[in-house]
Amino acid sequence: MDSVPKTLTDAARGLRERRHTAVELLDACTERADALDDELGVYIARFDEEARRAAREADRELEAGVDRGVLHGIPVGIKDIVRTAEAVTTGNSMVVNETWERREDASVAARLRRAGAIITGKVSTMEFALGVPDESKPFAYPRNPWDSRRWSGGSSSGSGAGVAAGMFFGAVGSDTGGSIRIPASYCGVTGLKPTFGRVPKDGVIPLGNSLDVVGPLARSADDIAALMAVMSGHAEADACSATAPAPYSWLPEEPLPRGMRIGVDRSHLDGGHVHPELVEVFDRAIAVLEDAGAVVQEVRLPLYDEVTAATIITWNSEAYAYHKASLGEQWEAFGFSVRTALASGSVFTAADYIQAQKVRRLGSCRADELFTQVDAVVSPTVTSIAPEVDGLDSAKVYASVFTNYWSGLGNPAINVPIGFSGEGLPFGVQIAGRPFEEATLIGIAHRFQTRTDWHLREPALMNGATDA
Amino acid sequence: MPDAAIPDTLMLDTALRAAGLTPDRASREVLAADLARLRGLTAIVHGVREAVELDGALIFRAAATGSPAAAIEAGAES
Repeated sequence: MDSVPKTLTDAARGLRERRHTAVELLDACTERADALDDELGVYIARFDEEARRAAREADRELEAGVDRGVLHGIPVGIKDIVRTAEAVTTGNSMVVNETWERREDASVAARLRRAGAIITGKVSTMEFALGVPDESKPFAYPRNPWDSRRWSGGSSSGSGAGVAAGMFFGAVGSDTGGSIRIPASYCGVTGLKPTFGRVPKDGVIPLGNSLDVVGPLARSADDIAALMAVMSGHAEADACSATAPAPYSWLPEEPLPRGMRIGVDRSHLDGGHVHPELVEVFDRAIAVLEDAGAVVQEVRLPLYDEVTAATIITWNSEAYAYHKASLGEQWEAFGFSVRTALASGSVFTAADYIQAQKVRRLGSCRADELFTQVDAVVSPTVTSIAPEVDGLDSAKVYASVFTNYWSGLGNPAINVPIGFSGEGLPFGVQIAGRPFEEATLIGIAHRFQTRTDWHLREPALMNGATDA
Repeated sequence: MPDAAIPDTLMLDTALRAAGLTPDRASREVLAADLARLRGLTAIVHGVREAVELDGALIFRAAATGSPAAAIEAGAES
């Protein structure tokens, strides 16, 4: 192989143009994992043998003219809160729960497998998709490929870091309050939180049942479109699964029609938790969208503080409800920060929880009004760069994160890389839209990425990590 | 007695006891230190008076149909 493709869609094109085989793609990814994973802590479990068998089979099928679509023969990593047939699901936890020891595919894993994707392994997450890294646990400690002294973000930590480091071309993550968008921002990749219910979440360890979504991370918006085409759609096994029809195409033919109205919320771009270079980078990104034909107007997200508070109360209460029995029986098996975070859910009353749901509903009505004036809203994903692992202060991290709002409302939002800080670390923005209009967001991200190359930049540590 | 008059630590201990949890000392200290933030969150949501008359359960109807838009439509009817 002359060079390793940077994006999932380039890798898929190369397979059909016989520039490389599925086995060669897998080998390139495996070499990178061999070289880098001690430092980055992406994998919890690698499925090298199974992946190699699947890649050989993909090559045989493609050679015989059996083409399962864009993901056929493409290496993909899966967050270790999602069930797969190859291994138990740990959720990065020492807590014993027989439910998650079953080795069978969640709907989303089964769909990827049927589409010919090569599942390379289970990748790291924060314990039960919550909190910040815990050094006391015997699991991979996820670090950022742009600077391994820093965190890759969470909770889809290995998904973001693995895509950025080229260990796979796409990844499955999950997002309850920002867990796809935050690592995507810190690691400089594209990550989509779909509309609630769009991608099935059966076979996925819950955090907040009324908030949890499963979604893709990859380098480009085109890659995200390819992954959504396979991952999304109704599944009987998931009680929250949507029946909404899929779009005609996940990547619109006219991605950002001239005159598309984009609202920009700048209200979190000042204050102590904003990186000094972010405003300039953010403004340049907005200018790119304007050059591409968008009509930009300033907006303010309605009931921002209220919906954010309601979202935190919701996931905290729902997560506590799910883990209550285990907390009582296996307190010491939980990491320190996770057990305290979960136990704090016991403080909220039923009235607090119910009022939080009412606030979410009111927020949805207000956001619906906003979306009569604009087609999408751009705001920072996080206002800081990836924090250093040593002395990581979770309060500081949470203060710089602006993702809970869209989780509480269930609307889709996509993180797009928009540039780098002087330290060489990525910045991102989230573009949010109406329920089930992910394709609009992917289209805007695609148009942005045809005019910029931030999403194609590779961390320096990848140099020499493959022989190709 | 209104909630605000109950000492935070008493509320925490009551909640933990009701939950059947007996946290270690360090965890309890972290929980106690976090109470002001949790109180702040509940004050914010209960301060949204116009939400009180809404039916919060519609969020779950939305979840069941997978459509936040369905909740919005239902909201418009009520």
